[in-house]
Amino acid sequence: MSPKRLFRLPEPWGSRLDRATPVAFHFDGRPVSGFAGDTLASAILADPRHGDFLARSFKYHRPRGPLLANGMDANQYVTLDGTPNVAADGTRARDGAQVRSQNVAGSLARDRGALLGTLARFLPAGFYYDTFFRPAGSWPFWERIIRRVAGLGRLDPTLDAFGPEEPEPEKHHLFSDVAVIGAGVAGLSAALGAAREGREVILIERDEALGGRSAFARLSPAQRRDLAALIAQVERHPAITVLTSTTCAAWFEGNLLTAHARERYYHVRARHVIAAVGSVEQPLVLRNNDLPGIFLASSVNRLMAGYALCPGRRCVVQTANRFGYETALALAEAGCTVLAVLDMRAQPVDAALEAQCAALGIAVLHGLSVVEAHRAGQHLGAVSARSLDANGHPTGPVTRWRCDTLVCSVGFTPLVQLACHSGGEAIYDTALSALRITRSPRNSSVCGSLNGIYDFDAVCQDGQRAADVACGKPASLRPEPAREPVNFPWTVFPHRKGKEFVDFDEDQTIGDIETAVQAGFGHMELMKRFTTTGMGPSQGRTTALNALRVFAGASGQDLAHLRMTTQRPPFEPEPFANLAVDTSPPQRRGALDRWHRENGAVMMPAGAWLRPAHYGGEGDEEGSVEREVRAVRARAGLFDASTHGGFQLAGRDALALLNAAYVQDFSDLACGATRAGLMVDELGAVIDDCVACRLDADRLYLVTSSAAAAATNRTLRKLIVEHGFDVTVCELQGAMSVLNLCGPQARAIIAALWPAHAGELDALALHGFCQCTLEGIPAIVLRGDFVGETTFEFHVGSGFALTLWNRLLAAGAPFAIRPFGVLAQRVLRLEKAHFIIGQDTDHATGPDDIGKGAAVAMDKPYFLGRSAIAKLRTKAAPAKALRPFCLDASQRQAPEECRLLEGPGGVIGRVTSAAYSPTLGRVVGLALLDDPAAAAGTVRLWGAQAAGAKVRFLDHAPYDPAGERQA
Amino acid sequence: MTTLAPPLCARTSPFVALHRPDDAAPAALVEGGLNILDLSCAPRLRTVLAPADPAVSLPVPGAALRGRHGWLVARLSAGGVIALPSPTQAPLSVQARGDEAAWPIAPGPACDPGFAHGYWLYCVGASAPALFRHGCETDMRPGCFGDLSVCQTRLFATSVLVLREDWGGRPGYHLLGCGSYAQHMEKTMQNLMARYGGAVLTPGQLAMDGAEPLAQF
Repeated sequence: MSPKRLFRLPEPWGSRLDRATPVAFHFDGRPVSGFAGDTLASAILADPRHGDFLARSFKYHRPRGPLLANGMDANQYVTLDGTPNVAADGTRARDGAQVRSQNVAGSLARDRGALLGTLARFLPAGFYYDTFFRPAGSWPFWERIIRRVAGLGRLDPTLDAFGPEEPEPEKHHLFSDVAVIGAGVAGLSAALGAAREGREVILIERDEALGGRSAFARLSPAQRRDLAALIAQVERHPAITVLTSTTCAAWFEGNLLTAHARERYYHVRARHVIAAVGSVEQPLVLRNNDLPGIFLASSVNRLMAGYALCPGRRCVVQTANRFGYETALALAEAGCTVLAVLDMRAQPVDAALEAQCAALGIAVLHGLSVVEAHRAGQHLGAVSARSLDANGHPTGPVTRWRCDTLVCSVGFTPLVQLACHSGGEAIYDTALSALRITRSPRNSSVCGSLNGIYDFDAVCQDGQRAADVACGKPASLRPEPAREPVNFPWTVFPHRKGKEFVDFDEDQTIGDIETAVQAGFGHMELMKRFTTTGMGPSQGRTTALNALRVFAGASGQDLAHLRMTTQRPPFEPEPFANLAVDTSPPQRRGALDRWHRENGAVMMPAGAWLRPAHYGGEGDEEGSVEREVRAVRARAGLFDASTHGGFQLAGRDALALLNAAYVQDFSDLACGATRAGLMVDELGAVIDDCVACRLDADRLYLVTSSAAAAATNRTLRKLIVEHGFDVTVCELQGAMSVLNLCGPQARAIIAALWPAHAGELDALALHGFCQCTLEGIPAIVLRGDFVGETTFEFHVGSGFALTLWNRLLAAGAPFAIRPFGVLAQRVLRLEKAHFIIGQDTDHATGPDDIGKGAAVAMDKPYFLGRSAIAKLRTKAAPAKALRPFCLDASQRQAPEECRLLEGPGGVIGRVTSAAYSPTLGRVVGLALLDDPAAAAGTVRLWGAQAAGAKVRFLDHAPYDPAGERQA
Repeated sequence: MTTLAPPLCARTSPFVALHRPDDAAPAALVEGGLNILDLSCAPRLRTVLAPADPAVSLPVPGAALRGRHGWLVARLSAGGVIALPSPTQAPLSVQARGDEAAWPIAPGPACDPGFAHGYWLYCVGASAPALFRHGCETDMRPGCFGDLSVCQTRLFATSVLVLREDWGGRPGYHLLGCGSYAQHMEKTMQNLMARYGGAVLTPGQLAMDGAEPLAQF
């Protein structure tokens, strides 16, 4: 193992650490000791038993150290307790954790996958597009290999991602007057400013503490006091809700923000959004710029100030702004040897900082830049620097320093992604040499480094200005960006041997972007897709600026006219478990649901509802259904039909509404009478049926099918608006329960239960109805015929359903009444050849196809679908036909739905429903025939199951064809 | 206790798990929690008024007024109105069923009171607003949805009519929705009560914990 470079600093370094509380866990099977407050990465990197890096790169398996150290770096992903792709530099270390490196073949130190790096010249961007399609048919072979090496981490499908001890993720809906994204100095100032104006504020911060980059920066004592005061005021303010360790993943139109913490998924809606998201430092692009030992200044500050982790002992600092100087001073104070500060700017800018460096013996050299990093083993061993000319081109002799650490601070890129999600646009500002947001989304403002402002006091002022804008106050002028830009315009130094990485996620180099341009991908979006630059987990945060510069150079385009590629949510990877929270609609359950389940019902989903399939318990479906069918046919059965759609129509135009909605003519529907209705759509296809009961002059009660209730509701309301009908529609599905008492003993049960009403109910004609109060329960009672036995449908408010159900069962006990479920009902209705719309019809089945053509009142001036039916009737093509059929008695297995029927000349139609009838001792069903005439010949079932079974079509219902049992 | 009329005796609440055994001591309201009163069996009237019905002074749409005898009348839209008896007097108001004179407004073309909304819960306590943080995508912050406000919205993925009526200074919300989602709502409420604390109240217990709000018309 190469000598350890990173080491732990003494106190007071490490503001995040609680050194009194040790933490122990394992990394790649070996123990790690850290402190409470450590991240996984800081603990591993500080432990002398482990190396200086904990991950390998995606494509070439190159060792990668911490670049950003803030949880945004794809090269710091590890597998934590079986969960892959956990950001080691953004996740707290915890006792007992099992952490493993990922994307390695062998061990982290000796990764066989690194062999790919030696073959890099043969594996340029998009090489697989040109390679693996020849010879023809070879792709499946290569695909297996490519899929094995591609991707980061492996999912364990058996793993509970949130662990048995952890709560399931949940969704929270939050609302505020102002939402502030980012709790750095700008965000804190903005949040406090808005709260002081009486606004409710939500402050979202992805770090675990407030302060942003300033919390680790080298501030003056006064600035440090101001920051502490700012944080304290924000934390104490009652109008500010602070969400830490929470990442804002997306900013949608209308100021909807989605954010996620580990166990929470937030939807935040705000009247005004202030983006104070800060920026990330940008790496230099030079040969071997990815070696462990090369750091960004901001990550060095974070590691030292927050986690007491020193990056090395012999350092060179490359800078083009004051932050590099400040980091050099911090390194020197920590005991490192700072060999030199190389300032890319030709002239001194800050004499005070240079004087402080000189006081510590740090050499400051101007107009120089590191142009190549040299390895020592798997680590940085030396850097080579050259002078820069006025256009940023290296010139003159090479100077070489032996060092184990290179710290770079040559520019920042604001985190423009979120603002771009919601319509903002990121452009390259040549004055700032940086990306900047233009065209802010509506009701939003940006502040801090998004405006190119980096000075502490100016950032505070800009946050307050954003708050003023959010509160509708006259805003003060935006502070001017720093007089000396923090970004240096020339940060790309190509090398003839390559390995100058632009994208650290995807291992894309200058050469890859040039290859894309040479291949004709002359637009940033095309280059991005060809090379995958910016498409990795860090979504271009450390890539965008340098990629623009390299692309501009390769394509000869003006940098000022280039645009950053489209930014899409999420801002960083989100666990699927978060996205899946609360996405399933709840199932609807009738008022008798508990009774059913407590009495042996096996429940089945039926659309949005759960219904009893049968009452025989698990494992006895066939026997149970048979017993239920026989009970209905021989004695009595009770069926819960509460999922029926139900509507109350009130108003003088109620009948006119029915005339517009259904094909039948309801004009002469008398009070106290019922009429069946058939609804078709604009294309003339049947979509629902109903029974309409006229309660009085202006009120109707409408019973529709279960599945189409919502669609029927919409149709009725649409027609009311279109025609200006004076009708009020009240939907009653779920509010009403329907209990069907069926069987030859139904009348006797009613007589026993309600002697006072027996006469009235007994006198009901088939399809008649009455309104009555049955032992205190107001009810509408209908005479139905769906199962082919004497049937009374009791329509009652759902609050009464359980009482009525129990009364009917008690009264029916002497008659051996039995509740029956949906499966028995399906058998019973097929025995009577009753169809169900949607089950036995499809989107092209019209009234004529199901034998209801005579019911269509074409003499009405209008009804929904009238013109379509009129046109269909002018065509010569014969109508289809829905016909009952049965199979030979030897055939007990019912064909499944959609089984094709084969006639003498080929396929003539399909089965729509079928079931074994215990009453008839054979399979019965319905079939939709495209060619009804062909049914006269020999017809067989098509396919393997029941192959060759002969189908016998009937001209009448298989059971009780004369309807004598419903008299 | 007044003997209930037969129609109401026959009614059963869709909430079963929420109810304590008959012999259990009444639970006390938990001030900082989410307390629930099941009023599903109590009457309520949802109706549509004629456009220019001068019968009664009504609140503006989206608001509610407290009437005589504790009735709360909420205006849902230009013509849509719902009337709820006081949570503490709801069982007594049962006597008024069928007696149109006892209703605070003329029923008009009405739904059966029990049909309009299968369940009716009254949620009260300091944690009652947390309901909406967990399950509602409408802005129901106290400042935006004040006392005696009403709206139809989605709560825990179901359509619910929400009427805010504070009780003794505590935030309180009437929730009325389709009975077919009652079990879903019941399970959700139990989870929230386990999290925030709270009790399943009786009308009598609620009456002990706050003065009846004053009539406004």
